[in-house]
Amino acid sequence: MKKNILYILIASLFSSCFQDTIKPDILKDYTPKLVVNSLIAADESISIEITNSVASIDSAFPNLIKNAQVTIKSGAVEIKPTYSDITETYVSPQTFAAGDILEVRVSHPDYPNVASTLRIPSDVNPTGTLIENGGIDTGGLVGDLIQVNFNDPSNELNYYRLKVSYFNETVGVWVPFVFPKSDPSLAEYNSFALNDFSILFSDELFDGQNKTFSTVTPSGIVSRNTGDKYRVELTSISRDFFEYYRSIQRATDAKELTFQGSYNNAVVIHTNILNGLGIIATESGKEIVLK
Amino acid sequence: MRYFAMVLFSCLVANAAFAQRVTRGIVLDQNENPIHNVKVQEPSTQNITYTNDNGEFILTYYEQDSKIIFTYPQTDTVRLPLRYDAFTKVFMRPREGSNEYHLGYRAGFLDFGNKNKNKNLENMPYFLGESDVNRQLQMLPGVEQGNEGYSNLYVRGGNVDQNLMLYNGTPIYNFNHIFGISSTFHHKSIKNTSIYRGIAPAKFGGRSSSIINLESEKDRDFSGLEGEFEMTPLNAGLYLGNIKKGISYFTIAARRSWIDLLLPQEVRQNSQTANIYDLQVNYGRILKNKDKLDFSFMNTRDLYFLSVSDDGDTSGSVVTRFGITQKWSNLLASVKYTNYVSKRFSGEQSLYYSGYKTSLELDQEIYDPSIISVPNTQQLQERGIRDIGIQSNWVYHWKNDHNISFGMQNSTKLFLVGRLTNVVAGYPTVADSKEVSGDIKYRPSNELALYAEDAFRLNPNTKLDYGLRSVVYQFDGNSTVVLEPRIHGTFFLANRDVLKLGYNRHNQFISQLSLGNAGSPQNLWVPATEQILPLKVDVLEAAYERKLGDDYSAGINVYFKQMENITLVSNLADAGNADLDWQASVVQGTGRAYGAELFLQRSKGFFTGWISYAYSRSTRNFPDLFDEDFNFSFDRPHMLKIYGNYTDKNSQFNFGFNYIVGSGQLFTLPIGKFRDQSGNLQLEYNTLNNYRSNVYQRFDISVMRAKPTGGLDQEWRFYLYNMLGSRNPLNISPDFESAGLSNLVINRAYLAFVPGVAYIVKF
Repeated sequence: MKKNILYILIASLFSSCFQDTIKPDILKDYTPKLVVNSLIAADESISIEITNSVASIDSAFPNLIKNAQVTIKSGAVEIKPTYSDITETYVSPQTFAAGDILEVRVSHPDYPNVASTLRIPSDVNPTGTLIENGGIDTGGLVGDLIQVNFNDPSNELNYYRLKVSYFNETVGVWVPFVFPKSDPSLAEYNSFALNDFSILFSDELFDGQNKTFSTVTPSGIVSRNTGDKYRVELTSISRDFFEYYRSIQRATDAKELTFQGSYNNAVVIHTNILNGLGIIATESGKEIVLK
Repeated sequence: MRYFAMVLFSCLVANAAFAQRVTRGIVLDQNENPIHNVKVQEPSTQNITYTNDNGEFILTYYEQDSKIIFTYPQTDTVRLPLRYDAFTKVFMRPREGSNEYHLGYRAGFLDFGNKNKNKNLENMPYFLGESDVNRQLQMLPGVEQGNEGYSNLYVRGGNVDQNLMLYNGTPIYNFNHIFGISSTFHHKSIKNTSIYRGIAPAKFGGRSSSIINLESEKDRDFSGLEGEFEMTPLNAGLYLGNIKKGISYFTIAARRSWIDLLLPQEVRQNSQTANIYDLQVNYGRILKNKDKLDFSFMNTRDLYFLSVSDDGDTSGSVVTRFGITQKWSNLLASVKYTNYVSKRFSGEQSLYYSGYKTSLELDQEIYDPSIISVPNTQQLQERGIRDIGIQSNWVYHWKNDHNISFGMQNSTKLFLVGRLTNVVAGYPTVADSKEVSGDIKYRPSNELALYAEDAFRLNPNTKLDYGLRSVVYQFDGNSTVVLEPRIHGTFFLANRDVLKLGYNRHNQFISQLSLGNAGSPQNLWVPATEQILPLKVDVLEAAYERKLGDDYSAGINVYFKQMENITLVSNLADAGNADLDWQASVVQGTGRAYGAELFLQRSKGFFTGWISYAYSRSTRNFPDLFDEDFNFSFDRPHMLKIYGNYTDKNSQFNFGFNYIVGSGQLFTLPIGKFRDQSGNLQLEYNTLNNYRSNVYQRFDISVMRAKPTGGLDQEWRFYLYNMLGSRNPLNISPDFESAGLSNLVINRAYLAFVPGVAYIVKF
């Protein structure tokens, strides 16, 4: 009798729960867009990838767009990068300098025209020093101390990318390693690491200061090197660069969670492409090789 | 403190300076409902005062033998000689055909206990037959339930954590059972419910959307023992109330789920169980010197336990048992002493404790005949908050046209944002260990509030309440001082119409991070910090109320709210991780809400109820999430709610219904997909909360039959929730069939035809 009551109650409750599938209009009426991705660095040639977006309910995947019209204008200079089958991007040997303002326009008959206006940030001219056996590494052994120093421009929000590599002489490649976020200026909310071991951060916690970041390398990793030992890349990056990768990281974290239809796990990927998607990130800076 | 002392000193000096006769009392109708705004006058003098929201008055007058005149529209005038040292109950009788109902002084104020004179709320259609104060409140304009089926409260575009729910003056930090399905209150443990939806007296603070004040039964119009036994699909409940009219009261209300008791005890202990209970005990008495002493206690708990075994070994000799236990509980206790220092001067001194604790335990045990011990691991995650408050609230009758409220309120809150304990024991090759990470101890914050407010009757038709609340907040060695102006004017117009205008500022030094649905025990309370700033809300409101004919009354409210420093979880996975700093997983932004609410109520006759319509908009802006404004998750621009009840005193039957129709709930759906700079596929969201589901529509009914049998009143109540079968989504879930983001399917779950039943015996 007890069991019957239990079953009746549970059955009546569950019989009130229903499920169906829907196809909301906002998904059916989707208009594909141009997706523009590029990293434009000061004094380096141009390479822009252009793809399209597709509806989320579409089983197709985004494709490369090879016949778009791309125009980049900066002051009196106007260039039209062309598609390269080798790189599968639109390329141009033209370079731009730190501080230049660029207007990028992309058009294609099948998609709405897109545009972006961006500025290549100023270089902060960092300096780097290496003190051999100058510190204790995380394993408690003596390691090399690397320091990078720069002056942060005051009264403006600046963003940076920091990446440190060591040179593996045996195979002749630079190998990046994790730069620990132990500096108090690298808080959880204003800094994050990328998959390529770069750290992106803002100057919220050291605005206008002369700043030095330090790290001690693992003991002995370049002890047999005869020439180059370490490479430090500290570049000024655009706010869009920072926001884009921060949103990508957030989206990656959110994907690990089950969709619930709420915006806690829906992340709007930052874009600076008007009427389109993607990012044209800019940066300027130096590679400092420490011997 | 210095400010507080100055006010106190000024009042005492003024008290001595104006040593006239003072009398106190309360004006009630024949049903002992208080009547407010009754004119109380000493004849042939300018000694005039008016009753307040609770029907109470204090009159300063000259002659001991004066017959005080009580006048109120559509009510017989009363003349009474009042003893100057006594508290007098004055009864006024409305004239035949009068409309005694009106909404009250304060903008946004609605008080169920005083204003709804029919017995409708007990018989309102309830989900699963469980009488629920939250679901009563959800039927008001501007109060939304949030997710379908839940017993949550979203008031005028605010989050759930912006509601301060007080039970006999003590805040409660999770007022939900069953992950948000039901409230934690036995319906008989609440006699009066009031809600301030924006404009609130300076006495109340700490939350920015609403103050919900729940008061248990403390007096009634007869002495004796009264009880009620109730059985619903969720709970069996008992209420006992022994009240000696005007002397003392003792009430106890308790509920416990009973379905789990149908399972064998062995199953409950070893395999699965789910049970809830709540208990409310209240005691109070009036002392010989007319002072009052009140004690209140409340305890609630939810427990869910599931264990499964896996005999992965082919021989079947090794068995691994996995268990998960989720618990949460509230513990509230308070004592309040109401003292009358003089005829002009009274105070309430109270001390309260409110603790909320939640835990999630995962454990694993291995039964292997080859091992003597039982290797086991246990992971326990604990969260909670403790609030210890002390309050000293005073009211001083300065003059007939000035009543000053002032006081000091201190709340020390202790936060356990997350503590993780990992225990390993009994493994033959691994040493036993116990590791604790996250918060080892509760971390304290302190809010000290001082307030003063003057209720100033400028003239017979104008009342002005103006005051200031200041709060000193301390956490982690930092301290902040904020000021909160509180002002509202009430204008009594011709035909007894009322116009009200108000402005308030509220600061909130506590937030609840939502890691799931509102009401979920996983949500964690966190303090404002140097980095995560306190929520600041400015509220502007205007209201107009009038009576319509003999039976109806109507009101319209318009409001605007500006919110700053709203806290939102931006990284669900990390925010719930006790090892990480929660501050790195939240973002702060701004919000805006505005709207207009219409309310038409009928409180007389066989058929009673109300119709409300709200036009409301609520947006959010979190620059770290999205560059532009987007709609708040529970933004519903249009919402029409109708509650009706038919009661014929000559019939055993009673009928009730709720009908709600309005804008659908918002969800966020990915509209497209594209390649990012690294070549990975990403989902495209044009904005957050970009999809509004179908029109929300719900029709619920209730039928009650009351039958006296053997000296007991028995009632059967039957309910049906969403009897039209409208597909109001519980959730909208976009699911891709593969990790490659192909074949998107949008699933919608909804509730329909949910039956409910309650059996009640009253004695």
